Amino acid sequence: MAEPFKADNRKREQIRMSQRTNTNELIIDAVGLTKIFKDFWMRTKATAVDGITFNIQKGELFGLLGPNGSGKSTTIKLILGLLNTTRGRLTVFGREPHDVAVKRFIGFLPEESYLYPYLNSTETLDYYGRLYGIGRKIRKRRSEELLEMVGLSQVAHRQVGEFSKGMMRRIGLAQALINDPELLILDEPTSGLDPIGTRQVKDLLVELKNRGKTILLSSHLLSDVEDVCDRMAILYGGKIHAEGTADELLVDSDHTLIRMPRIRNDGTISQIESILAQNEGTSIESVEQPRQNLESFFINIVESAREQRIATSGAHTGDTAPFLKGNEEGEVLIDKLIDNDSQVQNAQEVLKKLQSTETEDVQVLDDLVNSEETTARATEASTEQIVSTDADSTIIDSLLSDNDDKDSQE
Amino acid sequence: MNPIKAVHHKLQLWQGKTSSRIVLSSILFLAVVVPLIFILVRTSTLYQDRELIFNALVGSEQTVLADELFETGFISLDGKSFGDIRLKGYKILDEDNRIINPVDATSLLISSAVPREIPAWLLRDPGLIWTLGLVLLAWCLISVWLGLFVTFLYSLSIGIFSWFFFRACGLHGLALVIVGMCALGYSYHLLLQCFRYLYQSPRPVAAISRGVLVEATRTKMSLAFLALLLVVLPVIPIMLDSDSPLRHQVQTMLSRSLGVTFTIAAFLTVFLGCATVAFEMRDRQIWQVLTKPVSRFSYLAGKWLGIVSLNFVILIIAGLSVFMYMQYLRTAPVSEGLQGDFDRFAVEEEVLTARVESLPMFESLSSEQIAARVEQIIEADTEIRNESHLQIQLRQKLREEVQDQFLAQQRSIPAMVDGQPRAQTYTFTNLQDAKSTGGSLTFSYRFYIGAVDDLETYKAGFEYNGDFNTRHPVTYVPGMTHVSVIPSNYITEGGELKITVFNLFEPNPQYQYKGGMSFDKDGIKLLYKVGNFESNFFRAILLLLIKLGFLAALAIAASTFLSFPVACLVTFTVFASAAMSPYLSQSLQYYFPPSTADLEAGEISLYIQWFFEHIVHAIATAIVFCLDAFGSQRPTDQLVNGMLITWGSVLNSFFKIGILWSGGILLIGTFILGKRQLAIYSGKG
Repeated sequence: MAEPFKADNRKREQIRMSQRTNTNELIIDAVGLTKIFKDFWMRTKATAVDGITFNIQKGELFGLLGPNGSGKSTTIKLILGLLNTTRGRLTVFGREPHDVAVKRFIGFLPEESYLYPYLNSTETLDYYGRLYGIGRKIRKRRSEELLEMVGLSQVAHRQVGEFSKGMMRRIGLAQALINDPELLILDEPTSGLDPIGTRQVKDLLVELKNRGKTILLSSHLLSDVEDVCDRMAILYGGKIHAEGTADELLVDSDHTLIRMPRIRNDGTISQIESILAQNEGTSIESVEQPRQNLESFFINIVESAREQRIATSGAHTGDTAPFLKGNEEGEVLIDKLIDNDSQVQNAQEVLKKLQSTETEDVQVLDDLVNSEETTARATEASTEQIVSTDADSTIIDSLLSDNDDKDSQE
Repeated sequence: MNPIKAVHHKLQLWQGKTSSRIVLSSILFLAVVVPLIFILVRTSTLYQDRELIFNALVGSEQTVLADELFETGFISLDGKSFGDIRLKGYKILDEDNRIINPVDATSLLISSAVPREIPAWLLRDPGLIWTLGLVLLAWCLISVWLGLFVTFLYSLSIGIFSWFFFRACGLHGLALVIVGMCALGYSYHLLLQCFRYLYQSPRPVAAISRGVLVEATRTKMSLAFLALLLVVLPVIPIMLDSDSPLRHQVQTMLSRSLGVTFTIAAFLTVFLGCATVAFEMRDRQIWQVLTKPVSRFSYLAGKWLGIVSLNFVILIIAGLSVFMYMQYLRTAPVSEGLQGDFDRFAVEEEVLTARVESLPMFESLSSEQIAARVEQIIEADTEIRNESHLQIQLRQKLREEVQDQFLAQQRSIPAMVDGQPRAQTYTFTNLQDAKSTGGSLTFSYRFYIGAVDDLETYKAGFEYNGDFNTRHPVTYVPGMTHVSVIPSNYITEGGELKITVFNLFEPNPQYQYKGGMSFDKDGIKLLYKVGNFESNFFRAILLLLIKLGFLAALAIAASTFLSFPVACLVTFTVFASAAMSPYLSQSLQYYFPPSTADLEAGEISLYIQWFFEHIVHAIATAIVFCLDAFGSQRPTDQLVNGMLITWGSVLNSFFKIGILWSGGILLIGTFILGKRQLAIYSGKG
């Protein structure tokens, strides 16, 4: 199992800056977005979203926080074109949300997974893969990898109608990733998952973000959002009441926290306090030993048990699917490279249509097909990827080595 | 794993290997082709021998052969011997040494050479043998290469076991039913798998169509209708009255089986069409689909294509089974003697065929003549003569009545007076096709008579092209349809045939002006064969499929904005209205709502009646206008009556109903779905 990803604030900030330097493309842009629900007689029933303005840039992991009924899901449905805006402007990839062409780049996990109960896991992923126009070989490979990743490969041929809630969320997540989306929209992705699964999802989200994916995460679980999001917006009553990065919103600028090894000499604290009184005119408010959070402690316990190979009937999740890491194998990669040429051309055509005649958009198009961009992304992925111990230095090298391994195994 | 599952698993693995499939394909190929070649060789020889015997019997050696047959019961031709010892003493020549019936004689002589191991119905037509052989071969090979051979084995095993078991118990009918159900069930599964294979393209429409087929096989709703079809269809043959004339059996079988198939398919179409969209909207699976790069139209088109594919499978399965049974039924034994011969003739020439009808030409009054007669009527009636506003309204009605009366006069023949029959001559034109085919024509007539006697039958006479030698009397029952066969050589070179009809009934002198014979507009007609039953049957299936396609589009479009039960209700209502539109059209001809001139001031009830009846008339007219093209297509009735279904009518229906109507309705559904907000409010109010 992959080791838990240890978020490094400084590295995260570096990535964010580099992304802002390279790409300022707005993936989602909402201005004065309002949604009013009316009844049959056109009387106002509820104002679910009330004049919110926000944007999400490419490569950003944006969190939408708020209590139940604050308008998070409604905002997401507006972005996906499942609802019509009442007022305001909303664009996704520079186009109207109802535009079918932009859906090709979006993966969506709704609050509840609304899947066909009579299809099994494999058939479900195959079906949605077809809707994206993914070829048979790639579809088959991705389905297998995703099922392995979400821990459902043992029940690949069980009908979805027999799944538990947690399993439904997992297969829902898998179908949201089948097309390797540029924009991933997740509504309560960790709902129904155990802490291990929750951590897996968070690690996956960071990994995807590091690959340059844009992610919109909606949740009322604060820790989930805090751990992974670059920026977040807090909704209440259909309005945004706060927006910014975690540091901007949460840093307590009135206090300083010094982390150091344990103080064994009681007199040391007195000396520090006297220095503070002398230099800062303040005193120590509290001295205590830091605590790791419960999630990390829980995961460590489970890791330890796994190393001891203690039996369990629960789900065994796997590594992140190679295609999500950008590590397609063997023929599939070759096919994808060939497909990518046409897909890039198609993507170019689609994006050309998506872009307006504004000149800055041409720059974005160039960036998409620019090999430097691709190399930079690969370089970022390779330098910033800490997760897997078998991560390779370059994609091609990993392809060749893994391809040989696969051939020898077969 | 228990032993049965273990064996099943091993068989599944084995059949999945390419080498296994090649071996199986080779075995099945030989199993089908070898008997096919055997049958073809035997039938080819049979046809050659038949032709040899026939030519010899009608040739110069007929007397010698007749003597040989009479003495020995056999004849020798080209070194071969034909006949049977039981034919000894059998005469084939009349007193004038002319052969009585060479066709029957040939059949008698060849009968001993007919292979008993081959079913008689299979020997009728070499083309049928080829078709069956190729279909069976394709069926087997597709089963192997789609990985369904194990399922095929199971179906075959159940069929064989049931056949021998129930026949041993004396339940021959049930044995046939079980075997039929196994064959139909497996064929259905096979065809569905074929479609799933066809729709494996990674495109939204194909993916959604495939999804509908999977949904149809895994949800219990569709299964119920399919089970009903698979049970009812094989049961219909055993419910036929074997004592009734063969023609009636054939027509009943055709009518019931196609009717049941279409009805069940229509119900399945409506329920599945409404459910597949309405339930997805209710259960929100549509969110997961329409947040993918799938347009609204692709979504609905995919649903429609899936349902139409399912209908195609059902019609093919049912159609093939009906067709095969028809081939078997047409060779079933008939009663002895002339009645039996007529019965078999009727089956071949009037039911299992494709005919067109020709109506006689009638004269019409010119506009001036009609106007003159109307003026005479108005002048003769003192009540309306002075009412100018009444004249305006009545003129239109009187014009129609005058024309109808003139036509009706041509369709009436007064009774015989003082032994002198009255007659009327009718001309049929454009019969060049009938003359060129050389087949006989069927003259169909249905007479009415204004008689006062309680006679059940009456006499009439026919004469063709004014030739006295062709005169012959007939006996008819008023109100019933009768037929008379006319040789095609009666048709003139110009494609014309004149038929003179004589009224041979003479009433008692006290009953003056009674006894006149009359008929409806289509009371007399000529019918002649222009095609065969097989292609006509195929066109009928296509028409049924087109109608079901419209129904599917209607159901899908209705469910884009209505809940499941309401959508079903609306769809059934429109479907029923469309089916009844021909009757509605006829009724409208006799429905005259009151005009504004009939309204009287102060009479509220008259106003209400006027309003209500005009609303009814408007609605009925709209239904007829919109849906008459759908309802007037009745391929089952045409097939049962042996009438030709033209490719023109199929193409016309395809473009009008299939593309224009179905496409238009789907576009309306797309528009509605596009305007609809799929995600409902789920927050706090």
